[in-house]
Amino acid sequence: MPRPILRLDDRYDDGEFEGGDLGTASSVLSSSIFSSSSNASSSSSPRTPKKGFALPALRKHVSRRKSSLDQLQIPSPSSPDLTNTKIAKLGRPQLTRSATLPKVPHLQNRSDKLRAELEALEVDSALLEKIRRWILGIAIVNFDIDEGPMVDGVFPPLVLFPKESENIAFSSFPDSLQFDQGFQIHSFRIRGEKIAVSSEKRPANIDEFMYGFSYFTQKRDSTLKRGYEQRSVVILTSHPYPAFFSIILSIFGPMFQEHGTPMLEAACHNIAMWPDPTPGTVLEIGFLGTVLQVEIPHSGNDAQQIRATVFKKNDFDPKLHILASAPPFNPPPILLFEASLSHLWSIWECVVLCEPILLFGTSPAQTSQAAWWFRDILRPIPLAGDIRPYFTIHDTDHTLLINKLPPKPGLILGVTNPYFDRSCSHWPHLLSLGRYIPPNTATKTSLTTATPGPPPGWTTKLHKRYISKDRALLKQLEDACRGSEQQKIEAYLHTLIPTPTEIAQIERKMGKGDTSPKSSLRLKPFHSANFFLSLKSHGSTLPFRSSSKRLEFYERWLKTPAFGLWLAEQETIVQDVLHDNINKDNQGRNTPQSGFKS
Amino acid sequence: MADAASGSTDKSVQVKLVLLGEAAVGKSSVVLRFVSDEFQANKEPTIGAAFLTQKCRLEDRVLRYEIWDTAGQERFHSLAPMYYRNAQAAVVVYDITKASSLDKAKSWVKELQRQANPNIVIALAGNKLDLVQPSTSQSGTPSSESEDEADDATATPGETPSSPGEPESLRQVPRDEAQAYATEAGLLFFETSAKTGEGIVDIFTEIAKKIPIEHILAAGGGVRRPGAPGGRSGNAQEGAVNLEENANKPKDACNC
Repeated sequence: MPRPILRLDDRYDDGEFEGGDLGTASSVLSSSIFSSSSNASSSSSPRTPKKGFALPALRKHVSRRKSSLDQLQIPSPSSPDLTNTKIAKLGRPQLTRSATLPKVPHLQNRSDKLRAELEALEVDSALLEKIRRWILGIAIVNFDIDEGPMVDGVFPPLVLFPKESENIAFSSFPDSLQFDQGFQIHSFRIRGEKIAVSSEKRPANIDEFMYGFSYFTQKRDSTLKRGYEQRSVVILTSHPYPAFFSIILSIFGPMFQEHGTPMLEAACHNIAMWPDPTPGTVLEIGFLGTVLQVEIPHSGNDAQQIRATVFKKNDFDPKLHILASAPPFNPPPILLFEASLSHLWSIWECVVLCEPILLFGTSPAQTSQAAWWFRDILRPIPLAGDIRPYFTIHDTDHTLLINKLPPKPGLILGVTNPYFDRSCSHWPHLLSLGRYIPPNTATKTSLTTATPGPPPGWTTKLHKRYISKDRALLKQLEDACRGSEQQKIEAYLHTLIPTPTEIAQIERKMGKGDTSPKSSLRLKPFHSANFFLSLKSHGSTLPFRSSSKRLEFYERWLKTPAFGLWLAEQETIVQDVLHDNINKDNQGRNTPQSGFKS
Repeated sequence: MADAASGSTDKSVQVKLVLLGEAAVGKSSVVLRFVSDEFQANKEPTIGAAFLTQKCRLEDRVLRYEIWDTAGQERFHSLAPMYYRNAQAAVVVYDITKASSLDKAKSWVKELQRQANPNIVIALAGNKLDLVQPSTSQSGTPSSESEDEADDATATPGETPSSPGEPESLRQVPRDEAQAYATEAGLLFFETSAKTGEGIVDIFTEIAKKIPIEHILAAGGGVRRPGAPGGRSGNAQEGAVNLEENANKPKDACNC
């Protein structure tokens, strides 16, 4: 298998980084497509504590130590002088390294230190159980110069099989260079092991998939051979709540970078205090000094849209009011689709008709955002296909999903590695994400154009649009793309294109079924002939280009696996209601009997 | 505990409040007394910070305290700014039977005055008053022997009865001294006992009176949740706030 395309080459040796010259680091970088070395002078050393956080802590620590020493009068050798050790740590390495000595052991030490710190943390089983209601664990992934990204530890402790661990590690890192220094949030969905019996180290699962929400950071660090520290903090969970976990990560990620293990502990203890993630509830959640309102969906297919929310639209602040299963707000989805705005109607049709789509983006943040957005516009229709917000060549399912065969219906695959452009060349639909870039723009945005891979836009081999474009809406979207951030969010709030609620009106057309317990205990069987009759007489809210197009579209849709699932789901809902009624009925009858017995 | 979902409909003014202080002075016990009117003898140390809420009625207003009960342990010290950022109120707790805990409290006050929201209302609370009251049938062992214990020592010491004759000898921080400091630093001051409940509600009531509610409301925040506490987007300051004393008004205890 090809290696990931990491352009931070490992080709320089220690000598180049002796002294940790930022200029050297940026000169190495300048060989790549980035020219952001201008940041170098303004950025402070990674070890310089930020004002307001680490500094007062250090001062407090020192002053406390002093006062206790004053009281004791005797300086104890067992209580080391903090200030001295700090100075020693901050100083540059004094030893001259030779090629025969182990090269820069810092990373190894760092990973070891983290592991030791994580192992030292205590979690009792009651606490663990509470944390596990929400997350499996938080994994710390560091880049190892020999092995690539590696999971250094998970807290609370979670057993991962070697393949899972490798999959998490690679999925949590972008497989191409994103920026010089900075962070990025993305998500992924991977297949793990099926766990039948719960244990403290690994809870049982309903299906073997797990979701990862990753906060990736990259910063210059001259003490590392690579010249950079690259790390991901990954929330592993069985809940597909992208909006929610992205917000949680955006709070936790930077704090963890700054404070390390105590932060991890603090976060998990907060999580343990959260109320249960009961479907259909609005929860108030306190997390690391911030209070969030979170709306938990009734089910995975619950359309959590702004207009249907309990939150008042005027007061709506996407940073504080979270529709857990919605796509995150960043990057603004409208920008991802800018190059394909006029095709949004086709894209929507393809998503609804369970067509497999390859999502190509320049960053995992883009692809995962778009994938979740696709998932969202499909609601309330169940997801019939596999969805991978960010998929790497290292994924254990790589050969299963990427081969010569036609891709499976409904598969939505988010990739950033140009390799997929070739290996998926037989796929019917490709959406390359990103902004439309006029040929002669400033050099700053040339990043996107310079990136290998298909240029932003929608490419389809087969699909011909059924519904008419809404020209007015298209104009509005185009304006929003050029407008302010607020307008971009507005465009999102108003939903870019028709939602499948229109499709869901089929429910009405096919008849609700007889819910009276006296008749047969089933939903009236679905007859496509009746459905089409009803469609003919009642019409459709979707603006089809012609009535024959309409017929064609629905004929196709009724054959999709998603429709089958949706139908089965309706049947289950009706059955549940009926059973409840029968149970109530029986209870009513049983009560006097039981009274009689006693 | 956190009255989760019920919070989504009320029209209360949100007040972010943070508790700070040395380990084992009884911060969590103060909160537990205020929120649940309970007391637990050997509470385990807080990790990071716990989040609790409590509603308070003050005259015709309803305040909703969002309480961040921080860990006193030194290793969590650097996380504190996260919790006091945008807080409208702080309760800095010390243990009246442990002189060094007042020093720690003073350093917290300094940090708050320098780095927190400039309009923050700070209350100083000397806890464990029950240990120095002769009237109490139960009084605990002095905590002086635990003075050099590690930071993670848990809250109130054991329950062994001491000689009823001179319980005041356990006191290491004279009330006058703390009061004088509080006045000088512009803090509300209370001596409290989380164990008996004495003085606890008063802290939150007096804070409620001193909080510039009108300003929170005028800033468009407070009611429900739209970025109320000082605003996350930099509108933290509402300029010079008129902290008028309501001391002469009829006492309105918090309705918990």
